[in-house]
Amino acid sequence: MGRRLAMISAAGALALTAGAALAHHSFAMFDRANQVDLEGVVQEFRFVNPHTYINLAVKKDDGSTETWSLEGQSPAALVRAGWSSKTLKAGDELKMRIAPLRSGAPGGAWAPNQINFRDGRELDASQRSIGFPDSSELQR
Amino acid sequence: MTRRHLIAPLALSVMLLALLTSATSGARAQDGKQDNGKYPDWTGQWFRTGGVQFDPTKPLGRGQEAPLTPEYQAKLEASIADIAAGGHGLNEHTSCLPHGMPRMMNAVYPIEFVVLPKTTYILFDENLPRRIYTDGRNWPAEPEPAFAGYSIGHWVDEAGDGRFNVLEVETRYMKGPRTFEGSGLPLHEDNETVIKERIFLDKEKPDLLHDEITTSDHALTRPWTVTKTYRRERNAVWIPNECGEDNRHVTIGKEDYMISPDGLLMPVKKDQPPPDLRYFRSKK
Repeated sequence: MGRRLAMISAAGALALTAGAALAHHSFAMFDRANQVDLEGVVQEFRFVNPHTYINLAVKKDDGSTETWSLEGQSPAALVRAGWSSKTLKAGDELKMRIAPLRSGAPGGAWAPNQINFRDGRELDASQRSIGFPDSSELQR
Repeated sequence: MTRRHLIAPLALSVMLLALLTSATSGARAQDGKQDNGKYPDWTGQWFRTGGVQFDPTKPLGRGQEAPLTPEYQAKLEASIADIAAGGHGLNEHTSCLPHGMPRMMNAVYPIEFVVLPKTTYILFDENLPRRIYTDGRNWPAEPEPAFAGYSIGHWVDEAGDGRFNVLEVETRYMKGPRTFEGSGLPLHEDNETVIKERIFLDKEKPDLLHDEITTSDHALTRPWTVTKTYRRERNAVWIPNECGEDNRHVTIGKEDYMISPDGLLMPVKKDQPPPDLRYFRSKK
């Protein structure tokens, strides 16, 4: 099992993609300015529409386990970046940097370029080609 | 009459027929009985160029500089504010409501054109198809409205070379709510939108397709024209995007929530209250 590491500020420029997510809903419910590092075990990798999900079991400080619901881009967007439904599987141990839900509930958004296997293996380079969707850039 | 004597009048007939059918530039096809060789090659998979905003040359939301009435500008501002706070604003597609016209031509995911003499179909990965009727029909009296509306088109041969190059389309009878894009940039709730399009290949680069869209709507102070461009991919890979498959975003009343992996509601905004449970009877 993994643990939640730290709250961090937005680190540098993230690779942005075209805003496919804004086709469905706003990314603004996720706090990209205050991203969180998570370590955990994949309970399920749901390669579904309109968003893929990684359900990640994360160990809390008190030793209990909390399941995070981590939303990604659509299968169509990921496939075109080299992903498939088999890229991740239950039992994979991951280190991720995610944009958490502003509410504080165990949910957030992930991007392919911010995931590593916990044992140091890297994902295929093609899977690093996309980051968070460039969908929150509404002019204020 | 001998064969030799038939040749001259036959040749004259053929010549006259050719003159009649080629006519002048701008000839329109209305009878639907056209040779398929007269239609442009719009085969393949068409990807949007630029982002998912309505006018691809400008930023989302306020940056679109849409000619909105003051009332609808205020609605846009409120939508942007709600989205910034984690809500969905006027973007009802969050709950998988169809994009409708003209937003579906933003082509978030690639599109395909199927050109037949009487109908041109536009296929989408995440919307029902559009049908553009080119069989010369008149507007129906009172059709049921649809998010994509009802479209009638006419092929135009601008060069007069016997080959159509422009599809002019008019779309009416839409239902709502509809927005131009995910910022919630709104169309009027009266749904009296009229959309006119000119769809044509780029003259210099035939793997670019342009859709010049003019929207007339009561949310606007004037007709608003935006040109979209799609690039062709010959080796198509289609990946369906059925929004209803596993949508974990829920709207209850005016509030948005997410569904957790264990099937329970989660808040998305800070200090967000739970939904109103007045219709549930608590067990004692």
